Amino acid sequence: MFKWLTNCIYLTKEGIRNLWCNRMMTFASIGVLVSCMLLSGGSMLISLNIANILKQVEKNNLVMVYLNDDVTELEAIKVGTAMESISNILEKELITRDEALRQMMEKVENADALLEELLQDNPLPNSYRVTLTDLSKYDQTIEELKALEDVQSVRGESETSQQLVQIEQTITGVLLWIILLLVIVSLFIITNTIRVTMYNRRREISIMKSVGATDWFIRIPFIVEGAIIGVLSALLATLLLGYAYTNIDWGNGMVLWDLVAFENYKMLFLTAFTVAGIVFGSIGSVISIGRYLKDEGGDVFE
Amino acid sequence: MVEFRNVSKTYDNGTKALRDVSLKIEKGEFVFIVGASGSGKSTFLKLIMREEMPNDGEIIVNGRKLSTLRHRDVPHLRRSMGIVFQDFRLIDKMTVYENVSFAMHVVGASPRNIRKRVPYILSLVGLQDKARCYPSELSGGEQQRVALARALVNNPLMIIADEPTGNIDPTLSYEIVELLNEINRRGTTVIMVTHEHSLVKRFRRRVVEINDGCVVADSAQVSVPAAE
Repeated sequence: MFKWLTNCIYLTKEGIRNLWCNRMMTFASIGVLVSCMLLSGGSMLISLNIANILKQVEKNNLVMVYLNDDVTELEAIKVGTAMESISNILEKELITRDEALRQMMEKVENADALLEELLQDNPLPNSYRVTLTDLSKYDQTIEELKALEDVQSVRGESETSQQLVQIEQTITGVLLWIILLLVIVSLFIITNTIRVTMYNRRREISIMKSVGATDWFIRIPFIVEGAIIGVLSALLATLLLGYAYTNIDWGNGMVLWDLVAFENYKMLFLTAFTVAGIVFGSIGSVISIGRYLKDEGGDVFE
Repeated sequence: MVEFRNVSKTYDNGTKALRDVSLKIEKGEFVFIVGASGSGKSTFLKLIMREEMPNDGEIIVNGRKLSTLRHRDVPHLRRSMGIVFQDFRLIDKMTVYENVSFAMHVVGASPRNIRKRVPYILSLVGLQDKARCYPSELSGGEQQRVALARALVNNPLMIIADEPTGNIDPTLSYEIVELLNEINRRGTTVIMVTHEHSLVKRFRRRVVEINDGCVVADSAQVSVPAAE
């Protein structure tokens, strides 16, 4: 146990020292990792913002449900109860025919007399103002609403909402591909970077093997190195991304919606970057070193 | 200590490095392995270290058949031998002290043991004053003595030296072989590959000559009856 601990301390020290001794490679690796993290982080932020904008749009997206002319207010409330069985409805608000008329007449000047007169014989129907939860189920929900008893007609911004959903799906799809591509590219670059490091140090590895080092004894310093590079890159990438996102004016004046605050996603980014960094760094090391460990001793003797 | 029984080795590219070699090296012996380059000397060492496996025959080191050794036992086999290379194989970014102590870390020695043992071994090879130097600051002979210290520090049963004097000027070569001689006198088996006949002549020890993959001469078989 004690032996194991002293070994661990020694190997961790070796890993840290290797970072410094191979600092050019360390900086290069950190640079590569940080760039990849920034690009995928940037894509993530764009994706988050689009989702956020859509949420705000969806909130405003109204469907008007007009009831039959002969429906009384009491019957209208019953229709409202029936609507509760439709799951995609976020909010609903009953607008009685009198309210509807008043709202309409507010826009007309000096119409008090007319209003009084019309209230006696109101031409408007009772109606519901309905907000949907999920726009992608728009058509289905409209059909369900139409099927309700006493519903005369349903009017909504069908095309607008459909387009919005399509835009979201396209952009999210494209961004997912971009992120996937970046992950593949970064993995490729990282394994290559490590391979170059390994190639430079194969002599060291063969020396270690010739004095009887076990595979793990050789691996651990490389893993420590990879993990430290991963953590440093994650910290740096989060700081840079946060700074760039918050402090640089991306033309906020032209954006109609509020951007999501980086603060809310800071920990998420830091965690994701750290995990990715450690995983990429250390697994990359293990994969790249595997080759040198497999052929027994590499080239101990020429 | 080391026994080859009808060992043959052919590489994948068709090179026949060793043909039907049988040889026995006893504990405490000092053996020179001589032969032209490409004669199979290096293959001989690779086989002892189990860096390569023979196509035929059996190799026994310290009483263990190498053919039955598992991959994870190979490091332990190598810890029983100290290896010295022609090109020293020191780690440039480590000091003399670290190059030697590193071999002790590999076997999991305690820090206390390391602090005691490394200075002792360095004084044994006459480098106690150079502990803080880096390999690049030393002469070839001194670098080889560091390598020797590294090979010795874990108290191996045998020292394997692959042309240890190849990169050193002749006057210093004697010094290195003298050191190996001294180590051998203390009971460690020494196997030294060389092509310098002046050394072989001067230190009258058992000489095994390999030519074209075969043992063509073995001085032990002249003076002593061949062991079974």
